Amino acid sequence: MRRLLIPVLLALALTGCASDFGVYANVSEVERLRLVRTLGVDADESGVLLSADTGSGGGGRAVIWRIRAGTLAEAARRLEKNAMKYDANISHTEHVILGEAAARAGIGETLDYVARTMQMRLDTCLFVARGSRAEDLVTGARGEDASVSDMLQSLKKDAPVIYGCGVATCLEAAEALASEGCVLLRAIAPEPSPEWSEEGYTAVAPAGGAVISGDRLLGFTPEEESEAVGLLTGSVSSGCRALDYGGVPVTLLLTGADVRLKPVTEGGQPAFAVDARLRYSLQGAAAPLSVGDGAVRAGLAAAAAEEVRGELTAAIRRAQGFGCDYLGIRRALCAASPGRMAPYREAWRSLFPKMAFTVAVSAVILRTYDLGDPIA
Amino acid sequence: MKTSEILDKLLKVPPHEPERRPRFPGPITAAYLEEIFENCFDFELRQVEIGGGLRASLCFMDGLVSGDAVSLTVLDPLTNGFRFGGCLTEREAAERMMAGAAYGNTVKYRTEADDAAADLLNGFCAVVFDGLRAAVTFEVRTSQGRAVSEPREEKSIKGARESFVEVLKTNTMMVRRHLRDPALKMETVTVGRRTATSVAIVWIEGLTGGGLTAELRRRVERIDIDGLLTAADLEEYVADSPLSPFPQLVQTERPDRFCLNLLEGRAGLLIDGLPLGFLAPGTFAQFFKVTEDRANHFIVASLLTLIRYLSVAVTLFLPAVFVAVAMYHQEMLPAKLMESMIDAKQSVPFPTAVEVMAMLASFELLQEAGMRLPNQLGQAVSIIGALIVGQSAVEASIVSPIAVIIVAFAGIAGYTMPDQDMAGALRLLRFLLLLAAVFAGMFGIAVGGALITYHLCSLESFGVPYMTPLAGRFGGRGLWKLLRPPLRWDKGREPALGPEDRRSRR
Repeated sequence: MRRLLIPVLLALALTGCASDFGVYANVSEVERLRLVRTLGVDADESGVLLSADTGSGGGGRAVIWRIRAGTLAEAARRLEKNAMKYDANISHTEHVILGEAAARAGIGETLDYVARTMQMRLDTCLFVARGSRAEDLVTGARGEDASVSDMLQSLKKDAPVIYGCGVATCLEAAEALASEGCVLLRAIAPEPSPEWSEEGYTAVAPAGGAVISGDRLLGFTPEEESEAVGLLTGSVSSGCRALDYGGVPVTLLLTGADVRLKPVTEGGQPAFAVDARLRYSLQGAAAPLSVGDGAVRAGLAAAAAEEVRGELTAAIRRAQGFGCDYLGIRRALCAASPGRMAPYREAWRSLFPKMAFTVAVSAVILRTYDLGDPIA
Repeated sequence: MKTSEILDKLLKVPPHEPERRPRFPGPITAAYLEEIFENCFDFELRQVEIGGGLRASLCFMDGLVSGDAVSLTVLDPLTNGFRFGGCLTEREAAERMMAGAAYGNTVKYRTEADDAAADLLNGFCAVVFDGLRAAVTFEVRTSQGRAVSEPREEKSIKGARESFVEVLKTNTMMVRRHLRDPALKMETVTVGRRTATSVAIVWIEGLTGGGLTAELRRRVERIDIDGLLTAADLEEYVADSPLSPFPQLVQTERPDRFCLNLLEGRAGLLIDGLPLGFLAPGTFAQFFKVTEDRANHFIVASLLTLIRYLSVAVTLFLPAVFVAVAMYHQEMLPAKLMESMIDAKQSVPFPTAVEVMAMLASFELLQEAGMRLPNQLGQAVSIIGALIVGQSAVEASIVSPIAVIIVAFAGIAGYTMPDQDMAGALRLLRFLLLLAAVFAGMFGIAVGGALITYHLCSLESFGVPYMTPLAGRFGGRGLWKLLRPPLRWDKGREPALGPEDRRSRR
């Protein structure tokens, strides 16, 4: 027993819980804590501006802090060790928003901080503020009893269903940067006085994707391409499509998608083919449509397929334009045909921007939910 | 120098004097017995005339003997001229008594005053012949005592409903009734200089390992104390590591459980005056088994056993983990739960550590009060304590609801322990782990847990590793016995117990 006692006492002195002389020094009482749910990171010549929002989940009002420091780690440390009424606790941070300027300067420091800080979680979602500072979103976004954290929470939940593609976490972003050298993050922007809210509220709206290459922001993709991005990356699970079918506005609901990529050769050069098979259901139409008629359904499906084909083509062209494969095309091709892709793995970055491709889309309308006029 | 010797020196305890045997040397005379029992109002001595005109003294302890038995089995035949009329000498009369002229199942011829005094204190009466300086003693013990009743602690729905009582012979009778085997051996050892308590060592010849019985006998015989009146008087002297909070002898008030353990290869102890049976060796897993397990379906019984093991973790670690998380590791909880905790703590004036410690102390207080009071009052105290005071404390924002839930949950988990000694050990360690958590968070708990595991793995009971079959020499063998295997498959006895007969069924 005595042999054990000495190592145990020594180990106690080395505990991470001991910051000064007593092991009790690192304690913080829960009643003083406020859980930071969203961190905003902005950067300029003078350093980093960290803004933090607690959200209104605890039943109380959201608390917002702003700290300026030389580095992100220093700002976060000062945020936690502040001498304010509450102790900020960053261990429950769910969202990190990077201001556009900060993203252009590089997201490496932020990812590094999240990865290396014990309290931070790797599943923290990463957003880029399009055309604004993160601080503007953190301090400016306000709704009925809602702060930026609550809005981002909602956006994160709805993104794969309503907004076409999901939200990348810090872990996913770091993995994509390590393997592909680029990543597409969710871009968000403040939306003052949205039509659904009361006057004076500012919402957070999805604003396409932010293309990060190396660790810097290259540009943005439009929000309209989000579904195409989602289809190519496999993150879309549902989504609505508004069509104009012979002058009748129609809404289709995507109920299933099967997108396959395969390497092909075109004129002796490597190319790839995209084959997307989509299943839709008719959600509603502004005028009566005879959906029982096969020709009407085929027409609707063809119109939807044509739109999607255009969006997929545009999304791939845009990726080629940026010169980075943030859509994960190489990964998908390697998974589909590892042997054929082996020679191109190393040279993929130079090959991809000028690679030829074909896109084939087929769609089918499966059911209408109209019990009086069912489709088999 | 041994620890006990150092303590003796520190506490200035007078030096040990070896027991004087015999305490009352010399031959037996009525006067000497009177001297021995001077100032004992319950000592009775009367002169009787034996059938042929000889005189003798009849002695007994009033209350220990049955008056009817003395009259019918001793006095009546002694005064019968037909039986003792021809006796001319005391020796002749004594020989006739031993031959059966006086009735009595157990008759002993004593020549030493010490033996006669011991017999008198064990419910015998003595016919003393001064001229012969000897006595003939008859067992006329009164059968008064508590009737066999239902077990109070180890209740059973499907099992037998009898429990041990305070009379050793009744207990041995109950064991014999369960195990009608001449191989069931019972040997008595007298323990206690002043109480002279009979301790029966019980084992099954040809099944129980010989070394175990011999070691148990050696340890019991080694006990040199004034009186054996409580379970601890025996346990602390017989156990391998008396300083450990963990029990090392299995206690039971159920004769069927006692016999079941004898059949597994354990040796037992029954003590006159205690309504309990003790079984050795005690292993950690044994304290989680109840007789009811054998009566239930094996899947149900195994699940219940698993719940008991889970309860150990809950009762031991839950308050400590709660404090560690609340004070040091807030990142471990989901955000919503953390927010609930923060909300609940807003108006509580005490730090989490103080709050939980105070709640645990109050819990112990209530439990102690409930146990010391009569049943009806105990229930009232529990209701007032748990419901009224608890709810009022929460409403008055003295404690947070979540702390009450944690402490109550840990307490309830502790009640699933079938053995109260084990439950007591866990309660004690719960406080120590809580202190470790207060000072060093999860690291403290990890160190505390490691020390407890180390201690448990280093314990032995009668040469058997305490953590068998989880660790030790027999670690990993018969792990399924931790639960309740189907009886048809459970054919072998625990190898760790070293049974001579290793198989229990076909």
